[in-house]
Amino acid sequence: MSSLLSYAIPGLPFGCIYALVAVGLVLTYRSSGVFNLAFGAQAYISAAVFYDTAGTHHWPTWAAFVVSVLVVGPLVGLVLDRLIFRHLRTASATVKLVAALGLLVGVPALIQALWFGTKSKLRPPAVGPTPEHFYKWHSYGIDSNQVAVVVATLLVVVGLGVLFRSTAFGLRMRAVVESPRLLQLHGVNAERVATSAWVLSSVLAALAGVLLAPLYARVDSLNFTVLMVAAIAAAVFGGLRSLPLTLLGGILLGVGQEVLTKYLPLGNQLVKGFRPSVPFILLMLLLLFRPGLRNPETADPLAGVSPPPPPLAASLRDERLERLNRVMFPTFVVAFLAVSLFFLPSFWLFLVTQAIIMSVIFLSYTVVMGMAGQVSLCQASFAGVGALTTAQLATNHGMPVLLAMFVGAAVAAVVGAVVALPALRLGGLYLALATFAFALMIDNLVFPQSWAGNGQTGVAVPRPQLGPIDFTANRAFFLLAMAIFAICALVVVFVRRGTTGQRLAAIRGSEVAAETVGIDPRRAKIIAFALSAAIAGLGGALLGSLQGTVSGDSFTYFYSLFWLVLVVTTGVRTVEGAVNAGFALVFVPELLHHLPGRWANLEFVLFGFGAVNYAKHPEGVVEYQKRRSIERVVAWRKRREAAPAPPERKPPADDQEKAEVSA
Amino acid sequence: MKVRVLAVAMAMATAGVACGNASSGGAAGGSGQTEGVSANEIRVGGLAAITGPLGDQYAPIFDGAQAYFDMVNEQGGVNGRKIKIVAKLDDATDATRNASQARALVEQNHVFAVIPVASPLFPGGKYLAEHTIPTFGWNVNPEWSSGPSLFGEKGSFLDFTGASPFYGYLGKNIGAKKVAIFAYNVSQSKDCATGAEKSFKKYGFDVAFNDSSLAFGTTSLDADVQRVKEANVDTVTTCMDVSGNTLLSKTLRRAGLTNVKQYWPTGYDQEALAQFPDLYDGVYFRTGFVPFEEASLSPGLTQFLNEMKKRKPNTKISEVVLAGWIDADLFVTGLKAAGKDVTRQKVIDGINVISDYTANQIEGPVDWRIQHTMNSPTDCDAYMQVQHGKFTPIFKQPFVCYPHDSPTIPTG
Repeated sequence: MSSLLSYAIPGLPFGCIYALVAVGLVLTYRSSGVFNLAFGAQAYISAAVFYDTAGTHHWPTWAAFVVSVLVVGPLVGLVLDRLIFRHLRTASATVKLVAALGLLVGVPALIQALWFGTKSKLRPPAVGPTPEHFYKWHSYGIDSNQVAVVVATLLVVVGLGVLFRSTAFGLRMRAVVESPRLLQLHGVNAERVATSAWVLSSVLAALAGVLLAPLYARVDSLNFTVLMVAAIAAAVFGGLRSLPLTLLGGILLGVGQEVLTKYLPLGNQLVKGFRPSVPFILLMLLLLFRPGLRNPETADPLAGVSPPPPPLAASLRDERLERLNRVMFPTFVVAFLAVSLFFLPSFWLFLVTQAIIMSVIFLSYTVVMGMAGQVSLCQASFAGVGALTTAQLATNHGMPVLLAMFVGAAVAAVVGAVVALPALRLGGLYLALATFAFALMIDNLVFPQSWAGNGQTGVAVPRPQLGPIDFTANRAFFLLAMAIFAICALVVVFVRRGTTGQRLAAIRGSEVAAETVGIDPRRAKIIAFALSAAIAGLGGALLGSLQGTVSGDSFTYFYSLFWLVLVVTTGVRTVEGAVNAGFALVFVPELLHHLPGRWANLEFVLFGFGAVNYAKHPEGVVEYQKRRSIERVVAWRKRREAAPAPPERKPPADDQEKAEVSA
Repeated sequence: MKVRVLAVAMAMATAGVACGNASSGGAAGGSGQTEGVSANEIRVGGLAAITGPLGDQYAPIFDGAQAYFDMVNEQGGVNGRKIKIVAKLDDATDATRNASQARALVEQNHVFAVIPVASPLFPGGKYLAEHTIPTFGWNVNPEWSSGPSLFGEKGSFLDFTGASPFYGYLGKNIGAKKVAIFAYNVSQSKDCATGAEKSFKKYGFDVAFNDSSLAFGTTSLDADVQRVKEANVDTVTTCMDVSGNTLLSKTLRRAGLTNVKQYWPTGYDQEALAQFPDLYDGVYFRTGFVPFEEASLSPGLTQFLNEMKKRKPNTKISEVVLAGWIDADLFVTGLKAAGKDVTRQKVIDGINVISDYTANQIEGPVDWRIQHTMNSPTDCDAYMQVQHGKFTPIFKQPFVCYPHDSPTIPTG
């Protein structure tokens, strides 16, 4: 027993941190409906401020603590709420999640660009003394930072308890968690309560950031992101509702992880991947089996109805624009092919090919997010599955590369369908979390294995050959990439126009309504996931063949997040959006590398904050601008035509009909 | 329409079955063998993980190489040609980007040679090997042994999983009996742990456990340290970076195990020591070059330190800076051997006949005839222990040398 205790006790401080983060997540989720994946980024801000003040500028610890936790913390919460999330109160869960994701990607890079820099920040200072004091209690050792963590958690628990139980403000906060609408009927400004919840949760993020930082040797934003997963598991344990259960979940998880280590055999290859994956696996299991998560938003069936998205920009063209487009588009494609094949230097051709291949991968987002309206945070994992299956089959089993690519896509499709299974019973947010957990599991359990990604070494992928055509040369390979892209784009367009697309559109609007007219949302979602995974897998396989070697490193969870915010910025509903994203991914860094070092991650800032825009323009910024310019041209032409006669305004719906008929 | 598209896809797939695979690396080289060379200039370019979470561990390699080239250029260059680093590309610690930047150096910047390279990921190495581009850099990646044109600063072959005699030598000399090994669940770290376990067992030490299931960026080693305590382990060896190593040291201290000896394969770095003096205390280190503290024993190292002070006074001296310097020295050695009508192949061939390259007695001899794909027959190591906040050389100085395949614990 004492032996078990000596494993359990060191887990307590970790459990406390998980609990703090989880409580913060639940607070904002219940009060404003935002599952704040950017919590880790908020923690990073305060950790950076604390490092700079206490570490670099040698402020007294208490002053640095006050500034980073009690000043910067609430300020960040206030800013995020006022500038972004206040405007999203009535938006769908997907929109809120995407905005938070954008911040998760954009904020750390912004902090680095503004002042923190990208250099390693070694030895983050602790709230207690640095180096830590060690205390001994019986045979158990504990250090001053761990004491600080436990004390801080106790204080927070007591503080929140008093706040919620004994103050009017706490009562209102509890009420807003139960039902904001009812609260407003009672004449309470739920808006203000939600803002306060943001501030409070941001203080918790700041506290967690400052307490967490010294557990690592350096301040690194990725540490905060991955640690979030354990906290998410704790929050799900509490049903995203109960604060006491959430606290308990966090502490159990911290202690459980340590105790588990005692019983895990060390020699086993699978165990080696299993141990780092415990939080992810746990999250997945909780999502799948925790009672009470089923249909979380059933209280108000209309709550999930999204207004129909604006029509595609292309459908707004009038007849003359349409005619012009019929000439211009083929001309553009021919010119693009000609320039790429005959004029581009080989390196630029390589980059263009890479951009085309990335566009294929981004088409997978068009299917799963643009059409099905599901947030998937594991598209890079699908691409990785396709790429590594192709590599293994072609290199180690002698299969022709082109065939291996399609087998890779098929395997990815199967994996996609399996991942979609939780979608059968879980709605948007939980599905997104499940895909996040899945991506991290693949990173840790599958990619390092020699039969899959073979760790950092990777696996070779030869260039394919088709009969007499050899795709080894860059030009030939470019044409192959173009052909596969064209096929995938056509598939996406036809599926969107076909029955499946219409069904998905209906489900996207309202699942309940779709079901009442006899649509089976499960089948449609599985198809969407499988198709999307297949496209991603095919793109991944092409990417591997382009590079010559491929390893799991090119497909980690972070790419899933970054690619998502990128596609969302350029346009997640159209083929054009995917192409824009592909070219942006490859060429924006080429442009940015002329900037000074600390701006090197500016792309994350650009696209991260671009994705925050998703709330306003779910069709993507580029698509939105395109629609506006088409509308302007059409309107301008009408005015000119109608110039002699008194100006006559047609309702825009008319144009749409006409455009649809002509299409 | 859907059917037609599917049919096309199927047709392409079945056609794929019918034929074989294209052989890789067909379109190599091209005609421009002396690309990047003019009458009075040789243009080279480097690639490093300049940005990214570990950027400052890799980026300073440019300073070492630049200082060496400045010195050579000041003396008139090589055969009348000055060496110019025309591109310093960044892969942002991203595998895909590393591959495309390696191409950019050759196809866009038209460099004669790629120097220096330092990145945790080096998939670009395969392309450089296929196109026989002379490439020089910090050998921390398996890709360095992809071909005879790639040159790491200490040989190009990394054998992680095989037994190494230094574990035996170090273990015996510090009085180790029962050992525990710590590594991350990532391939290189795991391989290193396999090698360590094999070595300790080969030389008769008791290996209590080998835990290579730790998450990269783990926050807790308490359970492992509890195991160390329960198994009465007296020595721990790691295959981790500064984060894992300092966490281990802290956890050992917290558990009161201050007398457990530690060996860290990485972390011989003044800046890190200055930040973690308490956690570095007593830890053993090893390098394959003469330690900076013993510079007086090596003319090459003395010159390196003097030139760095003169030309790059703000650069903090570290292993990677020295790697950049050695890379530049090896490249210049190759250039000199190639003579006036320099070609890439001549440089490569010029280096690959050298049997005992030491960068002017900075490191143990590298036999470039075999060390693209094999271990050196002789290993030379310098050992240090952190004492009173300083890296202090221990055992025989500057090096202890022993046969790599030594069947018993080498005496040095």
